[in-house]
Amino acid sequence: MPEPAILTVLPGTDKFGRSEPFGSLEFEAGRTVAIVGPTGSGKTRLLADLERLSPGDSPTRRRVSLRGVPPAVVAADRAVARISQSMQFFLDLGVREFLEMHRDALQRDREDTDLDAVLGAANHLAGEPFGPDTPLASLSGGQARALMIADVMGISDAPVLLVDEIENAGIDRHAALDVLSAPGRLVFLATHDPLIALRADVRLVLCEGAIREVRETTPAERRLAARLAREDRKTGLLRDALRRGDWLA
Amino acid sequence: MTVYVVGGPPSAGKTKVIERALDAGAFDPPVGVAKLDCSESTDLGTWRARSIPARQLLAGALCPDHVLMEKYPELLAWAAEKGLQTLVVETAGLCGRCAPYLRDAVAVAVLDATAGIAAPRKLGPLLADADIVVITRGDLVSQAEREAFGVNLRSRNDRAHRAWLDGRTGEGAMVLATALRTAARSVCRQAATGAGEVAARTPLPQLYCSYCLGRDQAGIEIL
Repeated sequence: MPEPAILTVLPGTDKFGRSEPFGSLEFEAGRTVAIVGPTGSGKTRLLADLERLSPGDSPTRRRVSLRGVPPAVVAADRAVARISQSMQFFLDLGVREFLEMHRDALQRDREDTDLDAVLGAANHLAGEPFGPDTPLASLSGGQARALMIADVMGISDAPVLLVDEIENAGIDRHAALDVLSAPGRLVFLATHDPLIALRADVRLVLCEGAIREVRETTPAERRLAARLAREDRKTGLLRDALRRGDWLA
Repeated sequence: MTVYVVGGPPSAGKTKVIERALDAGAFDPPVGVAKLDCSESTDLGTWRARSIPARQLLAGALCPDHVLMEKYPELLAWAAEKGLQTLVVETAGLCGRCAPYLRDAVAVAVLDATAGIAAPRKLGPLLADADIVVITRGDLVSQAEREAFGVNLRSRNDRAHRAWLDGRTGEGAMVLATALRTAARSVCRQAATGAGEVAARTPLPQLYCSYCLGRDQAGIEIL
C-alpha cells in the first residue's frame, strides 16, 4: 500500500504566456481527477508536467511537487506511473512470466505479491478472457491495456497514476474506474468521455494550454453520471447480443 | 568551449536527441556538430539545413571509437578555428566495451527503451561513464517495462541524470537541456583544475585486435 501522498501544482502560463488563474492546486491520494478540454488544449502537456514532477522548466513553467512519498521512490522515478494509448509490450513473454519479471525487477516480496489477483483483475477489465500462458504479443489491444492497468495497480507502487483516454482502450470503463480509484492512489484521467469525467471527484478544464477551471463534481452531475452508467450498461448488453448474432429489437 | 560527446547504440536516436537539445536552447552558440560514422551517413544534411557547421569522419575499416580518439585534437582545432562555443560530437555508437568520452567533456549516453529491459546490462563504460543518460521511445513501452529498464539502468550507473525524451514530440527536451547545462558547468569546473590534456575517461581496449589487423579466420587466439 503506497503512503498517502499530496500533489501540488503551482501555476504556469498558457500558450500565450499568460498566467494560469489559480494560486496553487492540491490533490490528495484517493482522489480521481479528470483532465478535459479540446484537442490541443494542453492535456498531454499537463500529463507530462505531472509525470516528471516538473520543477518549472517545461514550456508551461508549472511547478509540480509531491509530498508524503519516500524520497527514494521519487529518486528512482517510481512516484508516477503512466498508461497511455501509444504503449505496447515489447517483451516476448507470457502474461504470468511478464508479471513475475516486473515483481522481481522491483524486488517485491514473492509471498505478498498476488499475481493471480493481478491476472484476475486484468481479465475482469478485458471482457475477453486470457490465461497466464498467453503470449503478450497475442493480446488484443483491450487485453493489453487491461493487463497494464492491473499490473500498475498490483505491482507498481506509484502513488500517482496518469491514464490517457481510457475510453478508447477497448476495456470495461466502469470496471477500470473501480479498479483505478483505489484508496491511497491519486489518479489523473485525460478524457473526452462524460461518464468518466463525471465519475471523477474533480475535473480540470484546459484551454489554450492552461488549467482554466477546477470543477468539483456536483451532486446533480453525480446523479447524471449514474443515469449515464445505466444507459451505458444497456448499450453493453446490446453489444453482446450483436456479437452473438441476436435480434436487437 | 564546451564539448559534449554523445554515445549510444546505433539508431537509439542520438541525432534526434542533439536536435531536440539544440531547439531547447541547451547549447551556447555558435554550435558545431562532428559526426563519426562507419560507412556513410546522411546526417550532415540535417545540420547544414540548420546552418550549423558540421564535420563528418568515416572510420572505414577501423574501429570508429579508435578513430575518434585519434581525431579529437583535429576536431577541437576545427571547432576553435570556427569560433564555436559548443562542439557536439556524435559517436558511431557501436561498442558495448568502450566509450570515447573525454574527461573534460560532458558524456551523454542515448538508450532506446524499446531495445529491451536488459539492454542497459549489456553496456560497459558507454553507460557507466555517462553524466547524462537519455532514454528515447520510453513513451512506447509499458510502465512495467519502463520500471524494469530503469532498475537495470541504475544498476549500471546510479550517478547519471536520467532524462526521458520523446524524440518525435520533443517532450522532455526542456529537462534534458537543463541537465546538459548543469553537467557542462560541473565538467567546466573539473576542467579548470586539470592539466588541460585531452584524454579518455576509461582507456579503450588495451590489445591490438588481430582481426582489425586484417585476419579473417575464426578462432585465432592471441592470449
